[in-house]
Amino acid sequence: MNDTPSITAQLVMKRPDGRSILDVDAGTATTADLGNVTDDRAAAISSRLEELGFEVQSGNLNTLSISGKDALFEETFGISPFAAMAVGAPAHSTKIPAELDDFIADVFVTPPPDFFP
Amino acid sequence: MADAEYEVVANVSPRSVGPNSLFAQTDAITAENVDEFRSSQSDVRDATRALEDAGFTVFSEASSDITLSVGGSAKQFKEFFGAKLTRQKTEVGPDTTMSFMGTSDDPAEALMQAPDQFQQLLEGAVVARPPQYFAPSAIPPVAPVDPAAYQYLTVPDGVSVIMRSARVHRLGVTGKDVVVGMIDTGLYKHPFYQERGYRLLTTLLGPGATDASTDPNGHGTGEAANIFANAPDCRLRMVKAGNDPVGSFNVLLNSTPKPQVCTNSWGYNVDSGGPLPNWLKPLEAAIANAVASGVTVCFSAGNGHLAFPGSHPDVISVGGVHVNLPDTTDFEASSYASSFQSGFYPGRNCPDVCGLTGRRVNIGGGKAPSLLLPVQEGAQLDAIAPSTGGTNDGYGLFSGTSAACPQIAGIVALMLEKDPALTPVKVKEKLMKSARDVKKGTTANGDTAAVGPDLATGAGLADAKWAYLNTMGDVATTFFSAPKDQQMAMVTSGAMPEISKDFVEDLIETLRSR
Repeated sequence: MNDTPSITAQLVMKRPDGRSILDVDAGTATTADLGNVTDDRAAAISSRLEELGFEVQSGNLNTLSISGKDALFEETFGISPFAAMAVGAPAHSTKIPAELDDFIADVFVTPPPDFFP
Repeated sequence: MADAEYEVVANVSPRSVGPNSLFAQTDAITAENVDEFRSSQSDVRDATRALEDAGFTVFSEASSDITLSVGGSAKQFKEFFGAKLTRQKTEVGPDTTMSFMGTSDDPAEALMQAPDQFQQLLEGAVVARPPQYFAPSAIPPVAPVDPAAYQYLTVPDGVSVIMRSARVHRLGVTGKDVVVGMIDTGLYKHPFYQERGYRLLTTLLGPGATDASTDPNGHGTGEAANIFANAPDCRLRMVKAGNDPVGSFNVLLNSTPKPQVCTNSWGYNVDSGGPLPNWLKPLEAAIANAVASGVTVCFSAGNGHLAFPGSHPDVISVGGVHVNLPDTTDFEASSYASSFQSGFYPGRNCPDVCGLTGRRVNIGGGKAPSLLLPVQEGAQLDAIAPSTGGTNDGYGLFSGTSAACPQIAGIVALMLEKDPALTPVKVKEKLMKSARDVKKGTTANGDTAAVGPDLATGAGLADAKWAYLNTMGDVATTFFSAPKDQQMAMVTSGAMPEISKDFVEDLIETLRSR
């Protein structure tokens, strides 16, 4: 069946020097901009992802929320969001396309958080 | 059974045993006289056959020996009963309408007559109208207190009195126009909010979330009431979370008007040591960005969890204090709430400050039923133990740190109304400085409260009145160091209120009560 729902993942962007928020020891308000990319770079990365078939839903200068079908994530980033969600564990990309390697640090699928009623 | 494929559904009355027909009866039909309106078995059988021969469907399982439930097209009803049917709309629930084919309310037209050859057999028919589904009440039920539990509080009154925001409200400070953001399971349009005139901005959808008008879990709808208990005139922006909390966070921060404070009653039970895992780095960065941009971010510390982002250094980490009613000043660290030293951030103790929660009782697997909160009727939390008297009444008893966190956000809104220039760091500092010390009780993680700041409750229970006075102290300092034209502007805008006799008396009373 081809009508599988889209799922969302977090994509971490790289700066031109190769750094990203993954290289920041403690991400607090005082270090918040260390992993920031420029607006232009974020827009260029968004555009490339959309060409690949992803939908860019929201984001900041560190990360983007991207959604797409499970097969598209598998094919592009070697990650199965549905498989990760099924076991309720976080997962991340096992490959980054060569032409995006300078722009993308990693892609994460996170389990849903707990609420504290 | 009747469904959408039948354009019209009607109730048809076969001949009653009498003396009156069902539709001619003017006196009340009660258990005493209902037998008069039953029909003989043969009449029910003949009526069913006649209607089916005419092309109608008789829903046997929805019929009785008093009326038959019959479905068909508007054309069939027009031809058989001479019905004058029009498409109509009716409200079936809050902001929910349903369209249906119906007759007019004129009694002569509302009662459809059978054709001449069936006049003896069929007394008449009336079109069934969609009923109105009763929304939950704006007033919470009087729920029985479970024998294993303790007296519970209602919102807004109980929370606002004990956290002393009611005293701030009397001074005219109500969080007016401060935008509070919340990421949760959604916000159902509960009469609790509508009838109190609380200001709800359009609910936004986080990535992966659907249907902004519903909250089948009930958590977001319930916990949001805690914000308004302390800041009744704030504006609330809910983001309904999907499977991507970072995306929801960004949706909230990118919304207009931008929230000044953000409350989050959720997290991951992961802060047990080692470096923050990479999969949480995007969330860490999103929170840091928010605080760097001036948004005060509050997170629940958890209900015995080691919760991240509740341990993020930039957030106000909110724990829980229980009040032993009827003494409104007898506080203890909640046995349901978290306290811990972060493994991710050395030196980071959680919580910073506390709101009101229940303490753990042995009901339904160990709950904390000290707040009666509104939920979408039939939501999961409508059925949480202990019962409020019904699983579909639109209220539930629950009060973990999920409740405490939005209470703190409400107090922050009061502070930001008077001093919008307060930074998140200053807000946290003032909240902690003004909190009421909690000196007893042990948390879910085994930490016991003592005199002074401690791991169990941080600085203690937040005190809206004292936090407000503290904020006003800063405003006063700004006032006295400002040039005259700016001082005049502060006075005329209400930023620097006249210090009245009432205010001074209240200040003295507050000092004595601390």
